[in-house]
This record gives sequence, structure tokens and C-alpha cells, in this order.
Amino acid sequence: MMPQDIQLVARIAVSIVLEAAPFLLLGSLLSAAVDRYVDTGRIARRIPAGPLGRMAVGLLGGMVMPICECGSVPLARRLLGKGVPPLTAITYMLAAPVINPVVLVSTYVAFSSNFIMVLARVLVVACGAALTGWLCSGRLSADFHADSNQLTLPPDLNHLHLHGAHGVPADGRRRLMVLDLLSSAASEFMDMGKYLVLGALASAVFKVFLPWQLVQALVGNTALAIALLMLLAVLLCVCSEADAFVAAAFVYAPPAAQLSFMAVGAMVDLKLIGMYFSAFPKKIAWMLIFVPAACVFGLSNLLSLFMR
Amino acid sequence: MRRVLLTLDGAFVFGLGLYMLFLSQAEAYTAFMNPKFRLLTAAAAAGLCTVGGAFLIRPDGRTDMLRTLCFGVLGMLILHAGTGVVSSAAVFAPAPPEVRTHPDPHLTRNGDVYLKSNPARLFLLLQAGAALPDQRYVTRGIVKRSAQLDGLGRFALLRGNMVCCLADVIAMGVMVAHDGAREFRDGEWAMAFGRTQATQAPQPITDMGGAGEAPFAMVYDRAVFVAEALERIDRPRFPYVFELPQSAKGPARLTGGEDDY
Repeated sequence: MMPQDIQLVARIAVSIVLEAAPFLLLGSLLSAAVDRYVDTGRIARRIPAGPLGRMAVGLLGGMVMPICECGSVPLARRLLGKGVPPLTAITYMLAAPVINPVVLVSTYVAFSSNFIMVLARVLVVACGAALTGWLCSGRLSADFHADSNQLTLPPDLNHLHLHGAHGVPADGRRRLMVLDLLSSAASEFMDMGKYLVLGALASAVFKVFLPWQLVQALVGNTALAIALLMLLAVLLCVCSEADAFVAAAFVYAPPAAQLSFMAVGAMVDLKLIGMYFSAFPKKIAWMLIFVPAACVFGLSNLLSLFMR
Repeated sequence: MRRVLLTLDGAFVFGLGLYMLFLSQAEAYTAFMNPKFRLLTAAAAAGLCTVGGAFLIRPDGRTDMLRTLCFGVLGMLILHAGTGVVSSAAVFAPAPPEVRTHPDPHLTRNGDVYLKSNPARLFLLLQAGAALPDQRYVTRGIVKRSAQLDGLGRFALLRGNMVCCLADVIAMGVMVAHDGAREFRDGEWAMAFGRTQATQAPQPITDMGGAGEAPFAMVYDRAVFVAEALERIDRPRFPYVFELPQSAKGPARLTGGEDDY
């Protein structure tokens, strides 16, 4: 291991944090705002009662409220805490980083106006997100009703409170409310940020020390290439807004493998895995990892029959 | 102890904000991120300073040793990351180098006119079928050799292409064919003058590994850059380029485009 390799690892890890920090901060601020200013049940009442309607709201939520994968986790767990049905919240969490205008356009540009690739990406991610949301919803609902703290929301973020605010004039209370909002956003940022840092470091180590020749040599076989590029997507932690350009550069890989790289990376990667275990019960976290991965692998292999 | 941890937490978030603010205004930013995201980084930095400041004034009640430790590790990574290949006395000067001027896109050599294009842009042009066979190009990049390339009597000329951040950098480029190709060593920087020529069948190169600071490299396999001349050059001040497909109209161009081809 050379000193310049270690420095490169450090710089790649820092660059991943720099890239993700704005979105994680946005998610943390939205999460804190939802916690403080959104009436419990108000959102839930506006969401359709049927599973298809709930799924559709989750899938299309990203078009209205686009957010990167780092920001979607704290926001989704807060929405769950506010009574949004798990089917909607989980589906939104997994789909929003891809099914949003910015990422769809970037995919279209990266693949030289290949609309089929855009549609395939939407299809695979939508199926993966909806299936995971559906499978998680039963278990998460039961856990949630049993004890809302199962969602591991920090107890001090679960209710609006103002330490020592009693007897403070209205202006002062507003200031304290703003301070509390920002302070809890910072706390949320750090809670999720620790996994971002660990994931970024692990990803940088893989990026620098992975035997890339092996990757280049193996991408010729379709099923192997799909599995390999999925693994790469998990290890490399490329942001969903940039991953299409990276996937497009794997020119030796079949299109279905490029698709699998883009589809799984936005739902499962090293930093997200840590966040899932932090934000959800263990069984749900495992489901959030394996169900989308299995779905992407199956669908990518299926689509490889049509994508040449 | 609890108070110390909370203060450290707030200080780390505030410090990260300050670092991002500082970096977003410096040349060294291009060693980490595509400069088109400067504004986003600066805005996030301001946000982090704000929430970090609020946390310091009125800390959230919980402590978490792991998160404090993780942000401490991040601080050490930042200190160790340096500025990498972007190194000069002015590296932290508050003067973003990506001035949007329009330098002459051509270079004249021995009376012949060459269109400037970095290897990554050539890759994307070839991939999109937009590289004209009659067009003469001049391109600069890092030389990469491998057994497969040696067998073909060629080397790869590559340039690290960054979409968002250093994590997604891929060294992209073309195979260069020239009588003197074997005289160029792995890792040298070279300038090639010539034309692109389609190959009869794809010639994937699968034994390259990385090049320079990009651990992963990809060379276009359906064309070769037939060089009329090759020159050794010094490494450019900014080794990365920021090319996207169809982005010829406006990728971030460093130092007015002089470091861009």
C-alpha cells in the first residue's frame, strides 16, 4: 500500500461526503420540519386507502419531492413516524432517488437519447421499490402499531418540545422553535452522516484496491456482468444523479448490466445499508437490502433478452 | 463528558460547513468535485454552518459516541486528503479557474489545423457516432500500456472524466496507433495529433486497470486514433475533465479551456 493510495482513499471518501452532504442536509431539514410542523395524520388522510393507490403515491412522490438517496432515508422514517403508510413511505424512499425529473433526464443524456434505457430503469426501480414496500408494509405496520419507537426515531425528536420555554414571550418562543428545528436537523444529519462517512470510506477503499482488470475481463457474460455491476454499484456508492454516466462508460458490459448498475445503486449501497440498519428494525433493513437486489437481478436478466 | 461530546458534534458539523465553504471557492475543489457544483456545495456549507451553530447554542439532548467518532474520522480524512494532483501555490486561492471564455478550439501545427479534444470527449464523440473521420484532432492524456495493447502495437491515451465527484472518475480515452507508440511509458503524459479510424470489429481491452488517479479506465474499442505525431508533455495543471455526452456546448472548462483538451 503506497502513501499516495492512502491519500487517494482519503480524497475519494471526502469527495463522496461532499457530494452527498447537501442532500443529506436537505433530508434532515425536511425531516425536522415534518416532525415539527406537519400535523400527524394530515398526510396520512390524503393518501389513498388501497394498496395500489398507496404504491402509486410512493412511486410518483419523487416527481413532486425529488430527493437523493441519502436524504430519502431520514425523510421516509419521519414520514413513517407521522403516520404515512409504510407501503407509501418505503416505496417513496426507494423510488424517489431515481423516479424524479433530474435523474430521468441525466439517464436520457448519458445513454445518448436512448429512451428505452430510461423506461427500463424506471420499470426496474418501480418494481423493486413497490415490491419491497409491499413486503415491508405488513411487518412495519405491526411493529409500528406495537411501538412507534421501533422505528428508532430518537425519542427527543418524536415530539415538539421546548426545553425551558415556558414563560418565554412569543417572539422568544419562535426563536427557540427555530433553534430547536435547526438543532434537531443537525442531530439527524449526524445520525445519518456517520453511516455516510463509514460507507464513503469503505467505498473509497474498494475503489482504489479493487482488481479492475478482473471486472473488465468478466463483463462479457450477461448474467455474470449483471451480478458484477450490481456488486460494483453497492461498493462504489455513486450518487443516483451521476450513476447513469458511469454506467454508460462500461461500454464492454451488456445494456442489461448497465441497467442493473443504475437500478440497484440508488436503492442499496454501502452508505445506505448503514442508514437502513440505523433507521429501521433489523428484519426490515435486511429486506431493504435483499428484496430490491433480487428484483433488479431478476428483471435485468429478463430484460437482457430484449436489450441488445 | 456528555457536554464535551455534544460540543464536539456541533463543532464537527460547523467545521465541515466551513471546510466546504472554503473549498467551494478554491481551485482545489476540482480535485474533489465537478466545478459546476460549487454553488450547491457553498449553499450546503452555509446550511451546515447554520445547523451546526444552532446545535452548539442549543444542543439536542442525545449523545452518540459512534457518530462523534465518525465525524472525527472525517476530519482526519479531510486533513489527509490534501489537494491531490491539483497542486500549486495558488491551490487554495479564492479564484475558481473555470472561466467561461471561448478560446480558439483549433491548434495549427505544420500548417495543418487540428480540433482540440480531450480523450474523454473523443471517447464520447466516437460512442455517439459524432467523430468525423476526416477531422484532424489534437488530444492530450495519460499513457496507459497493457499486454493486450502492446500486442496491437498501441497504447491508450486517457483522461480522468469526472461527472459529479472523484468517486465516479473514469479514465476514458482512445487507442493510439503510431510507429513510435512503444517508446512511451506507462503514466507519461502525451499529446497526439491525428485522426480517428473505425476498426472492422470491436477490440475490447480488458487488462488495463486504472490510470493515474482514476482506478478504473475504459478505452473505446471500435476505433483507433491514428497519430501523425506524438509529443511528450508535462502533466496539465488540472488533470480531470468534466465531459458529458452531448455537452460540447458547456462542460466546465478550466483556465478558459487551455487545460481542457
